[in-house]
Amino acid sequence: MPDVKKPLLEVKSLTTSFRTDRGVVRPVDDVSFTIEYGQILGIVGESGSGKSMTSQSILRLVGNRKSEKVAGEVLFEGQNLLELKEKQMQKIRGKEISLIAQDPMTSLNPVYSVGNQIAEVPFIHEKSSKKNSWEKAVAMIKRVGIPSAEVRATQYPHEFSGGMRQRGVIAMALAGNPKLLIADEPTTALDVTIQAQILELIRDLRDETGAGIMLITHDLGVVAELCDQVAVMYAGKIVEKAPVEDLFSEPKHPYTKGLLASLPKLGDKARLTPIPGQPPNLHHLSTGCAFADRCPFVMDVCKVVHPNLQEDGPEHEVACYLYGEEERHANES
Amino acid sequence: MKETWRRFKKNRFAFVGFLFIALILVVAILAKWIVPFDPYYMDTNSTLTAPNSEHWFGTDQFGRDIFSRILYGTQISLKVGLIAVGFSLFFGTIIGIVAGYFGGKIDQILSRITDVLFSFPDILLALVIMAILGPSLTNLMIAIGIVYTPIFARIARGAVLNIRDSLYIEAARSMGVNSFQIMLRHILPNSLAPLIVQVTLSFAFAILAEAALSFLGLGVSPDTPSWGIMLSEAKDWMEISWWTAIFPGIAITLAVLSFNIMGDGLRDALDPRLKNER
Amino acid sequence: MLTNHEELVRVENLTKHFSLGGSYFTKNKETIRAVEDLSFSVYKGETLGIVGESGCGKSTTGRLLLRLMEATSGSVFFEGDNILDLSKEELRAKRQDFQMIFQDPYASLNPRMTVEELISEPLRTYKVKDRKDRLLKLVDAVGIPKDYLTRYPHEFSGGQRQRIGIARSLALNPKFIVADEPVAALDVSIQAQIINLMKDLQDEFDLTYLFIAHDLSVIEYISDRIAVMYLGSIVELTTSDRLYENPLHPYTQALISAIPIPDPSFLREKIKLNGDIPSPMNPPAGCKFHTRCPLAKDICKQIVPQLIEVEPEHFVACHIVEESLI
Repeated sequence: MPDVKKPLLEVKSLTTSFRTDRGVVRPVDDVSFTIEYGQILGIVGESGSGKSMTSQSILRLVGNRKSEKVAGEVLFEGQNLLELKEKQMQKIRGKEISLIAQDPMTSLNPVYSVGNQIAEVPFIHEKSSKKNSWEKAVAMIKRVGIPSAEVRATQYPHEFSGGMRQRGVIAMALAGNPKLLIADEPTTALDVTIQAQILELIRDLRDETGAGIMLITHDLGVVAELCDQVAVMYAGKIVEKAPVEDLFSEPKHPYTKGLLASLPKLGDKARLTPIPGQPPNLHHLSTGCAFADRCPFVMDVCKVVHPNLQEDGPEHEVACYLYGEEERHANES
Repeated sequence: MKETWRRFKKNRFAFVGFLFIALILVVAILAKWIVPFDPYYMDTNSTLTAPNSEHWFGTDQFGRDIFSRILYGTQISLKVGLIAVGFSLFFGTIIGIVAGYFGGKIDQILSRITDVLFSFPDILLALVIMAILGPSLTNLMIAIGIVYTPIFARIARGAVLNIRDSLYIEAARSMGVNSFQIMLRHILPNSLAPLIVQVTLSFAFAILAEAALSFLGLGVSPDTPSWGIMLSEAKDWMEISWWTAIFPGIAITLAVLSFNIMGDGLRDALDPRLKNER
Repeated sequence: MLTNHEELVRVENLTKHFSLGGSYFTKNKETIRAVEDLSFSVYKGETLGIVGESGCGKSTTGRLLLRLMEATSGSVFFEGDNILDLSKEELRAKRQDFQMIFQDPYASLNPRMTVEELISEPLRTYKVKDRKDRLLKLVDAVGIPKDYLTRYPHEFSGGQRQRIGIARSLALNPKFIVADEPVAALDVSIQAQIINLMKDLQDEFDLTYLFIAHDLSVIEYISDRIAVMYLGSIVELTTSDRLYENPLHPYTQALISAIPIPDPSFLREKIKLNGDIPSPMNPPAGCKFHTRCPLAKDICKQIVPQLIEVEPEHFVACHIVEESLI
């Protein structure tokens, strides 16, 4: 039973580190956030920002090798997933927490029919009979808007188009009635008109099931359409966190501002303002703010000590010396 | 290149193989000066003597020093390996690249020919070629070369097929670079890695094939200090003097093993998919 | 057409069919109709955008124009010569004038060549004199530091690699560049750098671009005119301003309304398209869009609509739009 007082997912100081030939890298560095029931949290970032690694760390898909280490706490309905045995974790994956991956082709097994793969979820997790599982699979396929579900269930992934496949993957993710859905770039491989359909489906499902959703994407447009809360990641850290309206109307972190300014806007042909420089290399990070060498407002302190995520306005947190307490600190020193 | 070498060195096993091959090479070059005895000199007073402080590996039925003959044997082995493998590398790569790049009829014809050659057992094919060409060291090298050409052709063709449709080949074509330049500058360098690995592996096979053919009397002339010949002659004396067979046998085994493990190590080191691992 | 526009490229009835399963043993070949009867012009100095979803034939069109692929039928006139009729030698000589920028800066650069080798390859191929000079000018133009010349592609980030790719395609002073999704593989913060760079280079070197992309905001920003493709055909072609202010084809309208806008306060009525894009293997008869079109009538299922000029510089292929004009 869900504990009403506790949030659905509470991630505290999640840090994932890899030992490599060229030293230790931290693709996820001291990341904290919460997701409430029925809430969609968007995690935005560019390649290498650690957004996908965050979800993999939560699901414990990394951290099983000697060279990988996941530290911190991942409290799912109050239970720390990082302390669970692999066996217990398997019961949670696919049942309590489901993943919708970017590439629908690789998340479906080509040698089983789509219906079979979906039916497997209730068959394993709920010990349903074969017949009931199959019926549930057909119902799920219907639910995600695939016409003639009975026939479609017997077909194989290659007989589905890209959009249909992603619906199939979503049906599979929903088959266990998960409380938390992790969608990792769910529409990146899809065409615009199909993307619109899938985004609408995800929103409807949230309204209907009350599940919490963690949406990982690089597309700020998708975030604006779908999310309630947004966390912006850069070089493994969350640099800004805010309700979606605030983030777009009043971005605070220079990176968020730069990101928004660099997007071409419809009907506006003024010269674009890109963020100068190149994305950071996790192998050569300074102790300071990772964005410092691309930041137009850089100060001396930025290059030395990384700023902490601090509240600046209601529910609006930013890790930057231009704001709040940190600002005063910077001015004093 | 540096990266490859660094990863290769990490593989201790393969590195030992590499060191041993380096040793064989040094011995082959310096053989003339470092042998304790003339490998052709027959000391009729001390035939089939067991290993002792003078003759470390003993002597054969003619009283020749086995240690010196083994040291000299490195020359034959390396020569056969180098020339035979060079032969198959050269022709095999050309056949493979041409077949893979142009495709269609050219590919069909070349691939069927290599398939036919491939379908014969190695040694049998070499025997047939030797029977046609007649026994001599040169013919032996050519025969081994022909036998291994299809392997290189196949590897090269496979590598070419992998990269032929890659975007950078299309980019080069869009700039008007002609087919020959594309093959030389784009396809060859990018298909080199599997070929280099095959060179070391084939080297091992070539040494073995030379030994086998010489053992059967089809290789070099009987008085040449070749490991295969030594083994062949030893078969009559093995029961009373084990050392005549054991030492050439060990030499062949070690050389072949070294080339094989070095080849395996190189394959791992050259594989770009492993670049980001560890 | 407006007369003050000078044509650089004119495409007439360009068609490309791919046949699948064509071996000695199978008789039933299936045909993919990748590009069907395309006709359009590219004006000197402009950027013509081609936008569409997967399978619409936009990349194939780009490659056909540069003859990186042989067309099934049709013609491509470049400064009056039909490129598709040129002999191998004539084509090689002409290639200097039209170049390509590729989507994937990771795959389009030979990993074993240094930046210097990569950029001088086209120069060497055409035996250009003073190569070093030209090379330095090129890297300077695209913003790659000179001391990086000896480095290999894997040492660069995606944006820098795309700069190298652009330098290569500029090496021979081309007049016409086909850019196939040049920013699709790049991070958002880098996309703007490359788009700005391409605009600057266009002014500096008098370039004409054919810019292929699936991202409507990018294409709207960079293009002077835009052609919208659907399943191998152009459904609408007009200036970029007009396309966004007054899209006429129902597909264009749906496409524009489906763009996710990075502004949560921006509310709009979305036009929902049902179903998926049909396979180009057996495209629907009549108007190819009729299976998903909210306005489809009987005529749309039977007769292929022609691309007609409904107002100056605005071409649409739609029966419904055509009827409304009468």
